[in-house]
Amino acid sequence: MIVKASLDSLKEIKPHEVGMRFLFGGVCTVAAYLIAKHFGPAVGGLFLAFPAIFPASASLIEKHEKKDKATVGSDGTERGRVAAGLDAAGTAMGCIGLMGFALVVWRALAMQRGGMVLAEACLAWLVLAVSAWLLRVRHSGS
Amino acid sequence: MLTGKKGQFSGIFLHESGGWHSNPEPGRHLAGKLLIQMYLPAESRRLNSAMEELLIRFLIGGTVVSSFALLGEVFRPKTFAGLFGAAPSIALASLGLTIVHHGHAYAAVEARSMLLGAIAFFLYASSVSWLLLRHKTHSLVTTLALMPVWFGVALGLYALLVRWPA
Repeated sequence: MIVKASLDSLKEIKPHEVGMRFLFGGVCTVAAYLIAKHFGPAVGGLFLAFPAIFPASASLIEKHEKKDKATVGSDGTERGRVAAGLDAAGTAMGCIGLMGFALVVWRALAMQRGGMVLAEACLAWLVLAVSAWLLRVRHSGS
Repeated sequence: MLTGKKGQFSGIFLHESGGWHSNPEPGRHLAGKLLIQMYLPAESRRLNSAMEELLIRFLIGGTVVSSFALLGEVFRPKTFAGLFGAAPSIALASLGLTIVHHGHAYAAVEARSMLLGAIAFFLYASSVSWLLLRHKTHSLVTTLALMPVWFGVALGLYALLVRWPA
């Protein structure tokens, strides 16, 4: 399976959809900070991996697929839901990367500078997420 | 209105120039000036600094999260694009500031708990994917209805493993 990148898909996104993600992202970041402040870092840390924009993203994927199908005169409801399901499967693979990110930050912060640790953790996320995705593709063929 | 540094400057201004307005009772004015200098500037500075931190976190969080979401839109197939749904966006927005303000040990405790949150996210996203692909349920309803899976797993793991050494 070949991974393709196309900036054309960005043209379909409306400003209010970006605004909604910005709002959810900002609110969740502030909420994670306030929870850590009131209940301590051990509870607050849980919310650093909160699925902040996941429901909104899944809903938008379904909506876009339905809209695409409607332009050719067919009902794309089922196709939209399958697309959202495939996106969620990818997100689950991304979560393996997210675990790697957290593990690197947790274990490396005691030994290295913060900026370096965050850079290494991002790399760990990318490598683990893409590897998990490749394994899934090889295993399921989808 | 007194806010932060502005409050500090206005206190100095009052002290040096004798006030914004002519006052028939200089003694009362002086007491007011002292009150402003002693209490309000420090209090308002604290409030202002807290609000500034919240605003900075909101802006950084919103920018990082929406940037990763847009990055996800660029890629095909859908399963690959989905990886960006679990990008460490909130963590990146938070941890940098946390390290600076609270130190490495505090951030390490947050990261340790984040690992539990990520396990919960994995189970949540897998359940959502399974339901959507198998039963073709409504995506928004499914993602919201299954949200207790994240809370249950994350808080359950926290309750079980809270005694981990930092």
